[in-house]
Amino acid sequence: MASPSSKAFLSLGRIYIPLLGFNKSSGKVTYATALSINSSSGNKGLPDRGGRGSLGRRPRRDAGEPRTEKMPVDQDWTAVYPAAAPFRPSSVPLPVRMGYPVKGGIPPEKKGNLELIKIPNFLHLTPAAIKKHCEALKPFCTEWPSALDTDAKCDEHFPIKVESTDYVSAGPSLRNLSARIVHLRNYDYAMYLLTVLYHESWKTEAWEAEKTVADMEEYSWEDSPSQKNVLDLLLRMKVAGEGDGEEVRQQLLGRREVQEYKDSVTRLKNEGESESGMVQYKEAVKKVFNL
Amino acid sequence: SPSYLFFCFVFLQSTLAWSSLCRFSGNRSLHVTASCCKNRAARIRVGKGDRPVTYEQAHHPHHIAHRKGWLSQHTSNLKGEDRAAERTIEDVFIRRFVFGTFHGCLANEIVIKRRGNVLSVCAVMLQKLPPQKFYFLIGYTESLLSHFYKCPVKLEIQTLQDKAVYKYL
Repeated sequence: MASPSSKAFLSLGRIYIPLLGFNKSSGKVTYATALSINSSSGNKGLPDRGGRGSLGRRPRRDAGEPRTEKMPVDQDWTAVYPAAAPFRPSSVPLPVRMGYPVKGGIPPEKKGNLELIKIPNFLHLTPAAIKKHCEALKPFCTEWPSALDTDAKCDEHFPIKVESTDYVSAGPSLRNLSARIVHLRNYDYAMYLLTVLYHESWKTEAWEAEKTVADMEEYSWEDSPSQKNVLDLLLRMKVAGEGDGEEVRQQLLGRREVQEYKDSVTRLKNEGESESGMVQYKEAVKKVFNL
Repeated sequence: SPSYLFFCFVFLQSTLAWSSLCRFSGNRSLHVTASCCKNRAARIRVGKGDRPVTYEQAHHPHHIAHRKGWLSQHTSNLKGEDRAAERTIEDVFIRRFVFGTFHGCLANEIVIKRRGNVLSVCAVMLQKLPPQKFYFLIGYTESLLSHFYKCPVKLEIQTLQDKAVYKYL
């Protein structure tokens, strides 16, 4: 080119930073200044036709230097990549290389590298960006109650859980057809039902007092044949001299081995037979009889 | 695409074989088989060494997922998702459309990404047209494709002076 002053820094703003909304009007401003520089240089004109040169058109401008040259080290990266965008080699000041190297060569550079564009990048999710997101969301959030620090406590105070499913899908339509398949549950009606059941369960009817041992849904060891048998056996075993009295029975009941025996029998009856249940029962029996 | 191998043997039995004249020596048979076709999909064969080739063209399809990525990304191929065929048809149309609209300007293949319902078309172009024409074509493509597919279509363009040559074949 004839003179350096004619070089216009053509910031193809729309091309390099499409998402920041560089609109065409600002682009036109740069062109206008560039044109004035060109016309004022004087020794241009017809002999210096650009590539086309059919009607003495304005010569083809060189592309400006990429934005990476002008980036300060402490810039705000969230302004460069505010949202998810493909990799732009002239906006990322890193000397990345990607690809299988040619024999005796190195991976191809980032300029014009389609592989870098193909992969998803997280340049818009740097820690600084995430901090900004959190700051923006803070006004809408309240503190987590400090008493609810374990899952068990959360379950205890808030036992009802509502499940919802989210779908990830990409296509022209906003709706996901599988979102129409639901477990038919009306949330309000479910809440109403649960409230009613809760209150009903606290009421006791008169006929509930007539419950017998056969009606019990769980096995309880107190006043059961197992308890009677164990106590009789123990009395006969060791305390032949102390006699059979109520306080002796109570004292025996309080003993640790008897409690363990009670636990193992209850477990076997309630949960059914299992390997560990039988082992526990065996240990308890051994302890009770000092075997 | 699968290659089909046909084997067809055609025998011509001459009934005059056992005639008194034994000049015709029995079977005159015609054997026809299809040649075993070499795989020619998406390959540029090695030549004199003067043909510049991009990274995309230089690597054959069996290098996908080893040395090459995917040119189109969407969720329809995940488990439980459907409409993969529709996405593929859209991709094919978009590639041809962009190739024709920016004729001679494309430096490499087009990468299509779908994020939610936004269709993002990433292309690397050569600086063959003046920027105003580029802007017009970009706007034209975006609005036309958005109306066509009823979803936001974004065109993200990068420009280069020349194609990025990977090697010469």
